[in-house]
Amino acid sequence: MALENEVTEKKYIKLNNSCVNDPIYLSWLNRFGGTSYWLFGKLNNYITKTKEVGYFERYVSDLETTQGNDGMISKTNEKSITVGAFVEETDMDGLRGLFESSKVKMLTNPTTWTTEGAKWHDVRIDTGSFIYKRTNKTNFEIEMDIILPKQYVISE
Amino acid sequence: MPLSIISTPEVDVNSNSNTVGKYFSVNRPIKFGIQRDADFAFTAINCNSTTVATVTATGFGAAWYDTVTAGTDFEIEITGSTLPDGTYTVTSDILIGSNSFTIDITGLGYTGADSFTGGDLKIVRLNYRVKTEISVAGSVVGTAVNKLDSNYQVETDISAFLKSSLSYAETFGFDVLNKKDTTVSNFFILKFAEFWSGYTGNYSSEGTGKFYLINSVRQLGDPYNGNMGDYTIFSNYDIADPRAKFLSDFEKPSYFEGYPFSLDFIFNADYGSSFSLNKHEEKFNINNSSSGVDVNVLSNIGKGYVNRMTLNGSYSSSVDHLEVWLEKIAVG
Repeated sequence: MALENEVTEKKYIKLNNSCVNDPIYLSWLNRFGGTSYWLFGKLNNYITKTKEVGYFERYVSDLETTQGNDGMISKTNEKSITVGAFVEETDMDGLRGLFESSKVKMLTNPTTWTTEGAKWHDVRIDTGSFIYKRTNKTNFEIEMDIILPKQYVISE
Repeated sequence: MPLSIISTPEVDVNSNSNTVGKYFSVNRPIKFGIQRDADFAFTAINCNSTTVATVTATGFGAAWYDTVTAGTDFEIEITGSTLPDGTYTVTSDILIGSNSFTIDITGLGYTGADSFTGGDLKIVRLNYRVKTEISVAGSVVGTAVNKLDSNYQVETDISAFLKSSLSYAETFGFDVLNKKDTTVSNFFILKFAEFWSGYTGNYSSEGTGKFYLINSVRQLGDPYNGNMGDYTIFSNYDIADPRAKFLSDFEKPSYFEGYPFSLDFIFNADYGSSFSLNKHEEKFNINNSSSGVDVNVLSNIGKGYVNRMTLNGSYSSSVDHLEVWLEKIAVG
């Protein structure tokens, strides 16, 4: 039973002092209207995925000097980061919240935010399946794809 | 104005009438029940003949003069009288100062010897509707228009209007102990007005008083439907009441040393000017032995909103975990 003046639950906060070489720090709007956080930093793959927008055929007037007979109008490219982590079972409900949230942000200045203020970019967690509970298992290896903001490209 | 609110999404949290939850998830229906009340309560109906009866009560004329057209028959619905409930045609003009009018009772089988005790009556209005004006933080965000059911009641869901007023953004600088977040929470007020063909009423001047919206969502089986009562910090819990939860989806959130972090909560407006909050941080080593409690006074500015709250940080390497909670303190 709570003491008379206590007006909230007592929340257990785990401290994590691990040094991370290549940190990916995310925050997200959770289902209760608060903000949650997680630091990824062990298994990060940086990926770029391209897609052709359009293609055209050039008229060639001089076969000897032309540089080609086709051209590309543009390409889109989408950058993403595949992050992974080994986590405890008690963290899985929260990480499920990250996977399900539509409002996710990535800290873009993790090493300088204390002096210049935290800067965030909207990112998306790729959709799919996420196992968040398994009987008789206390540790999980998880993986998520973070889709970075759209890249602007040169176009014809 | 003959409109009243007959239901709201408020709940008595922990079945305690001193802790009424006024914070609602905008991703669930937020319904208010509205009822058109009787236009007038009358005292008696006396039959004059087999075709005409007189309805009597003090003040008809003053109340109705502006709402009906002189010389035009109109209909009223009578309920709760010993005269059978139903719709009757008014056959006399309603003049200022008049305390009675006549209705047509042709074919009902009554005579000048019959009389009835009072009940309620409503004028039958063509295309009667209720407008609900929704304001968030003082700005009108929309107007809901509803037709009433046969019992003169309606439930209006305003969640879609409220949701459009929130736009999630990271605005917390992590440089103060606590700060309100208006991108996920705010207050709203409702005002009501009735209108029908040829008439537009004014909105009630006082409105409903403040309610609060949170950009959260509830699930099947959660208590209190869309009400965030179990996450709202009240100032007057009974000693045995469960206390408010923090707005975290982690059972045990991790604080990554050196990175921005907040532990969020709903700072209830019921704290008013009498109470505020202290943050308590108790530090434990890996053997779960306490090395003391740090106490900080929170800012009062964020009452009525979701608050973002930072931790003290710079913990020594011997600290393995913390317990964090809030306590109320009297101020002023």
